[in-house]
Amino acid sequence: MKKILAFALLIVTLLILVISSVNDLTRLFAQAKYKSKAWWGSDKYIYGDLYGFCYLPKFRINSPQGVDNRVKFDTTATETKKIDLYALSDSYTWEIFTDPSLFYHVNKITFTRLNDRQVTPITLDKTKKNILILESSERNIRLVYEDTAYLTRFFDFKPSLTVQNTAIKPTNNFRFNFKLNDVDANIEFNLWDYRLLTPFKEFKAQLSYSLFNRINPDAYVSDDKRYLLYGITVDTIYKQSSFKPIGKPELNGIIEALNKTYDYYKSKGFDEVYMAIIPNPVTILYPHYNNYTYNQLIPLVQNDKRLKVKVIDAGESFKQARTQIYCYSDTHWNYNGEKIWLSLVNNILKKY
Amino acid sequence: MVFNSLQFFLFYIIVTVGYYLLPHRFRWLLLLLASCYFYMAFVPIYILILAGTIIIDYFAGIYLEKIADQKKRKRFLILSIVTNVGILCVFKYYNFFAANINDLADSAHITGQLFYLKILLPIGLSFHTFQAMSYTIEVYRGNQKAEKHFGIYALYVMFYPQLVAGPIERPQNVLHQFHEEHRFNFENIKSGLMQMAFGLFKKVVIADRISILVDAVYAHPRQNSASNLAIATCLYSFQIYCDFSGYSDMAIGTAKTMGIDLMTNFRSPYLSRSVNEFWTRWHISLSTWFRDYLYIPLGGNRVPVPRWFLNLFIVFLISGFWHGANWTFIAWGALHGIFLIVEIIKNMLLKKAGYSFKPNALKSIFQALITFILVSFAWIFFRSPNVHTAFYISGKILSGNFSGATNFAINQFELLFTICLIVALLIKEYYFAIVSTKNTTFFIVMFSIIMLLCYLFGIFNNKQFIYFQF
Repeated sequence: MKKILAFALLIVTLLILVISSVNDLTRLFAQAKYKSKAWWGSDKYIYGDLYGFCYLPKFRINSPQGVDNRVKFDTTATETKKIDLYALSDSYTWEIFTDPSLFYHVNKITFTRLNDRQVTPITLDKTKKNILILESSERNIRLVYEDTAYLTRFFDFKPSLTVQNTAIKPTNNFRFNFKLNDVDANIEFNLWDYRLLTPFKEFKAQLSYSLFNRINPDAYVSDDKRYLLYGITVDTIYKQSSFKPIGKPELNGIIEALNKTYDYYKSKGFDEVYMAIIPNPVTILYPHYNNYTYNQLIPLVQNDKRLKVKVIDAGESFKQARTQIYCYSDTHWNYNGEKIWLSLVNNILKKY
Repeated sequence: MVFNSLQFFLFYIIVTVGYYLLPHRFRWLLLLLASCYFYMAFVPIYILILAGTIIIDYFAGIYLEKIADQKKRKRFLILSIVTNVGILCVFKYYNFFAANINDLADSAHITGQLFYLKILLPIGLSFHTFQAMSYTIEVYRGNQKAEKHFGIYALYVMFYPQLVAGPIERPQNVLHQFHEEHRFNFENIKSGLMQMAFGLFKKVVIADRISILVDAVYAHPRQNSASNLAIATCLYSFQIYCDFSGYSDMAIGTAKTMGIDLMTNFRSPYLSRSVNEFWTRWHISLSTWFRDYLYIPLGGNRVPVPRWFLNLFIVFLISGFWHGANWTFIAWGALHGIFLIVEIIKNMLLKKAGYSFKPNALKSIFQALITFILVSFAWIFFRSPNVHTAFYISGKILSGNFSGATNFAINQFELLFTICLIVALLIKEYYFAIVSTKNTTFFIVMFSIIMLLCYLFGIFNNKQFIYFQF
């Protein structure tokens, strides 16, 4: 009997180790866990990715978007579809770019994710206006916008090809942050990430927060305790931080790279190239968080006189917004933020 | 793979269960493969270095035993030691020497620079090198028979619980245990698991909690007051103790669950009443290594007094340098050498003056406190990134100006909580050095409580053990 138990323990442990060591296996398991509503499902992203980092019970919010329903845009179906829209985007807009009906005059959308390794083959239809939007959240700017080679590698211009819309349809905006690059993280997920265990995680998180005022370093609680903030957008050791000062050489590098990117896409036949920086939540909501000073990254880039790329400036509109525009427990905006941004884009597209 | 990771948790279960399920004749193979996997979880390619030294020392051991000619034996021993130390020098010390020679050349306006090696230090290199050297030395001295079984010898060097941070074992203690059959013994399992649990507690609840405060203070010493620096330094003494002894506890406990006894590495060092006593309680496997293979061959204390002091100083200087290729470690070793010499002179003078030492509790506490202060002062050099910073910190603390704000990276409640944990640890070590696990119910309750406390109050940031870098 003892031997059977030992064998069973050995096999189960080996199985967990093997699954955790093979990313694809863990990914399969993860997809099943995210879909499941049973005890073995995962709560990691259901209540927002930042909740999944820290498990503070206060932020277990059933609708992390803060508003119940997605805002639908009335971009009339009768309009002339004269624009082919292309986009390089990050997680803020992946979902938006799957739906051409949200945009004025748009015939089709081809988008690729900023962290994608694959290259999308495209052919520009010269009978249409070809517009490219470079969208990135503020936290990614200093990582991707200073490298022209990176920004120009996403599309492969193949005039002879018949092109399909290669956009990948994400099923849930909150599920794309899952990274499988670390065996230990995989083991933690496979061994420990079950709905059944969420109360224990929440108890530990609340205990640490109440006694020691500490939560997982990937998240910060805002001063007014209303929002969770993404750690890397706050902590000044990270380039993604809204408070890490930016020097002149780095700024020059970004402007130069953006201008070269602009020239490149224009030379390939795009009618216009726009850039949209989505501000970090902390930039808009708590620009003086923990007595830090905002590094002014967005105004410095957008207002630079050398910049050739046209700007879709969401910052000012966000500052003036009277509704909640970011999720309380997620790194992203909610549907109000999305709506404001879409209006800005549509105001531009209407002019074509 | 660190002991405080989930990967290790699974790995440990697989290896230990597999160990008892396998017939004795295959166990060495399982342990060797497991040790390879464990080591390769850090930087896989470096296993080749380990394999190289294992092959050289294995054959050196066999020849040392076979050959009768003393001169030839000595040559083989030297060859083995030079190979081991050579690898250590290349990987650990070359860039340090190159940097210092280049600096000297610069200041003497000599053109030309030594090149630097772009290499990472293989994890635990100093530990397994010393363990391998102790084997050839003991075979040379005739205290240990050469191991004929290559796999068992490789396992002696690579046995995963103590591969990367000790205890640095002696062949006489361990090699025969790999040949013996260890039947499943529940007492061993209980006692091993209990020691592992205490080790984990020391690491994740105490050491990693203290590190939050210490790292923040030592990262910006100029922005911190003397009192902040003094508190951080005192706490660092406990951080490094809990970190390193926690690792040793987990290593010894892991081996114990497989029926293998490893040597004790710590015996409540901060209860020592002198620096001399401290070194009989701190990192015992290293201090005895230096005693047996360096201090005694140099003549030990059976030489004229000045030479004795020189021997002590040399040993501590090298011991400091063993820890890392940085002047800070050399200064740390030198400080301990000086403390020890001053202590011996003091004892000599007291003896000459006819003073007889009558121990009493108050005196012992006072002596332990003085020893702790001296040891903590030396840790400043150990912890600082460079000698310049170490002098700045020690100067600021010694200035005696303790006014100024005491803001830490942890809140006051957590600081108090940490101090309570340290006091509890000292009391536990003083009164219950070994926790008996004979009563199974007591074991289950205690083990569960410790694990629960580890979960609730542990800092799980996968922070590596401090001694892994050596």
